[in-house]
Order: sequence, then structure tokens, then C-alpha cells
Amino acid sequence: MHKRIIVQAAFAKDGLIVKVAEDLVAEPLNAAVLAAVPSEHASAELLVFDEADDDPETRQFAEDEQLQHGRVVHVTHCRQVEVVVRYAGRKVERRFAPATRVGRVKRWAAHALGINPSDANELLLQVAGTSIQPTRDQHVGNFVEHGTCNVVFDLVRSYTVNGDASVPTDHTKLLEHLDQAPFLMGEMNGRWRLRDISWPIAFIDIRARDHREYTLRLQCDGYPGMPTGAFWDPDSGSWLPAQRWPRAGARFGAALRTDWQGGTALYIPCDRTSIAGHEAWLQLHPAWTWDPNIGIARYLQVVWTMLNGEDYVAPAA
Amino acid sequence: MSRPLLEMPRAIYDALITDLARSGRGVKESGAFLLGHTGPAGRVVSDYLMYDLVAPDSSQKYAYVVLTGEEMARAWQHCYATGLEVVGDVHTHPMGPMQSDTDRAHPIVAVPGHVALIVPHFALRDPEPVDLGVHVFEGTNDWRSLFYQAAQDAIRLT
Repeated sequence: MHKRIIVQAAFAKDGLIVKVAEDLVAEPLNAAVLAAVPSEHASAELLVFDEADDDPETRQFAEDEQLQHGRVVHVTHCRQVEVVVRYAGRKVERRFAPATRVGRVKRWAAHALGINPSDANELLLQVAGTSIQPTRDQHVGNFVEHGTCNVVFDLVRSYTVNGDASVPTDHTKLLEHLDQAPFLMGEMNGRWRLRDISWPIAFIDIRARDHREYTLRLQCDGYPGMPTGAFWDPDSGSWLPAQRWPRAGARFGAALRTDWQGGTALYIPCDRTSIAGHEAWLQLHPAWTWDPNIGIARYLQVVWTMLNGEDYVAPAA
Repeated sequence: MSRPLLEMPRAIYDALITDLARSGRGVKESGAFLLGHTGPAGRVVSDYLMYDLVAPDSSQKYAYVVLTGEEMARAWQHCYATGLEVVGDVHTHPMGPMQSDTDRAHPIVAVPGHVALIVPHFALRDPEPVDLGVHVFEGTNDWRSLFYQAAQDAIRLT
């Protein structure tokens, strides 16, 4: 009969299986384990530690585990491992036996840092400067820095999410479009810039040919459906009075008429208030119609084009 | 008036708000670790570390705050190098300063007493402490939230 010995070491982080005679114990067992160490890692300084000798808790674990009459041991030249755990600018330090399982190191660190056990559930140890996140059953001695008996861990959460998931779908979609190329290119080229969003209203400044900025107030509920809106005076918090509207020439027809909807909607095919009853515009002005894939940048492009043509006229006021 | 939970120089607060707004550009959430020291006088902020510096990939990828274990470890390394502690954290919301379910489930630092600030409207409206949500982690998934005057009292700008 044979029994299985699982050997953990810095050179065998995931464990080596060594089969030895069932009745082998103590020194002969250790000698058999050391004889199985790959020659490139063999050294007269290597010691064998039984995981079960670490502490009563580990002993209990070793007794409970049905390892088919086997044992878990650790092979190392370190009698003790100096462990540092860093967390949010604080650090705690302690020596452990090399065969101590990482799960126990984590529990000690969480306690020493004042973290409640239930809050520590989602935290894990990561070897500093690496992306290695040992499992709870791996030995701390597996992770010593080369040529030392030291290991530094960072206590981290594997994945942290903060944010407001209650944002409605139409708002989320608008935010997505504001982060995509059609909008960003206009922003980078100085054509327009997002001033603010007070959902469902987006305020966007559009730069005219004479470098004046006009604020558009666009109502975006139902986005990526069409928005509706017109020029806004951010100083007074009201619609821009007619005498302060820009004018465009005949090329754009009545698009900037101030008498339409009391100056609360631009008379263009991509405005949802204005398109109602003007479906013929879809054929007459296909370049100015709404495209839900491009989204708000289409509306802005239409307005920017009007404000940057040679026939643009600034308001007298 | 009770003792403030966080103390921060006005210049750092203003720079922080500017950086949060710049990072989020009004279209995505942004955030930062608040760094400093905790002493008898409470938590004193002397610097901050933007999430987009330690987590450039996650910041580009998501419209909300995401930190992987590796990204969080970068922040801990920064603390180790500078000798500063994380005394709080801050992130923006598109709308109000209340915590979301994920905010409550994922404290940035899971030590009771940790302070998490939420800045509304992507930090675009020159928010003052009175506009913020101040959320104090009390352990075992419990939080205490302060708003309006209580939020203003909790943050002392020096």
C-alpha cells in the first residue's frame, strides 16, 4: 500500500504528488519527500514541514481531510516566513510557519486590520507587485521572494464596483453616445461641448462661426429616440429670447424660426416636436434626419452647420 | 455641531472636484482615493489619487467605477511609497448623492469608520460639501449616511 504526500514549495506552488510506502513516518518520510524534489531545486538546506504541525486549526483540517491517507507538507529552506500585509496604506506584520495556509494568513490580517469577518469574505491576498492571488489552501511559504524568507501581500477585493445602477435606460444610452466618436470628435474640434445634464435635459454649447457660444437645451427622455429643444439662456435659466437667436440664410429655410413652438423647438427634421406633421422632410432632407445609431451628435451637427455657414448672422443684441 | 469626519484643505477639495469633472466629462462616473492620515483629530486629507490613474483600463471600459484586485493593489503600492493612508474615497454619480446597492455592497476600504463621499451630477455643478453624500461604513454591510447640513458639518475645508 502507498499513501500520497502533497508537497508544496516555492518551486511547486500548485503541489507535487509523491507516493510513499503506507507505513513511512517521521525522518524516513521526510527523506523520501526530499528525494522526490526535482534536482534543480535540491539543496542540503531544505527542510520538510508538515502542514498539520502548524496550529490546532490546521491540525483539525489535516485530520478532517480525506486525503486518502495522505499528508500535505511544505519543503523550504525557511524556518519562518516574515509576512507583511498591506491594506489602504496600513500594514500588519507577523511571522508564520512556512506551511501555514494562505486562508489562515488572510483571517489573521483581516482581524489585525479591524475588518469584520463577514466584510472580509470578498477580500483576498495578492502577492505584491504581481497578479498572483493564492488560493486559501496554498502555503504562505510558496510565495516568498526569491532568496529570502519574506512575502508581502496586498489585501484587495477581487472586483470592486461603485456607481449608480439606477440610471434609466434612456439616460444610460445618452451617456454612451456622449462617450462615442461622433460626439467626441465634435467636442475635440471645438464645435460643441457638454455643459450639463439634468436628466432628462442635456445642455450643450455650440460654437458659431464668430466663436459665440449658443446653449442648446435638449429634452432627451426616450433616447435614443429623437430629442427636442432649442436655444437656452443659462444665465437666466430660461429659453433664449427671440432677439438673441442667431439667423441662417435661405439655404436653411425657416430652420431657425423663433415663432415655432414659442421658441422651444428647432424647426429641423431631427427634432421630435418639429418632425410631427412634417414627415415629408424625411425625403427632402435625408442628411438632417435622426439616426439613433449616431444619436445626439446628428442634432448637434445640423445646428453647428447652420451656425457656421457663410450666411450665418449673429444677433444684433 | 459635532466633530467633522474629514478635514481637507480648500485647495485640495477644489482640485479634486475639477479632476472628478474632467475625468468623467459629464458622461461617466469618476472617483478617487482620499489620502492622508488618521489621528486624534480625525481623518485629514492631504492628497488624492484618481481612479483613472491606477485603473486606466477599467476607467476607459466602464461608465461607472470598477477596480480590479490588481488596480486596487496599485493604489496600496502608492500608499506604501508615499506613506499615506486611504482615509476616504469619493466617486461621482450622474444624479443624486445617495448610495446605490453596489456602493453599499462594495466599500472601498472595509474598515468601520471609513468615509465614502458621493458627488452628484458628475461633479459638474461646482458642488460644495453641503451638496455631497457622506457615507460612513459601520461594518457588516452597514452604513450611516449624511446629507445637506450634516454632510457640510462632516467635511471641514481648511
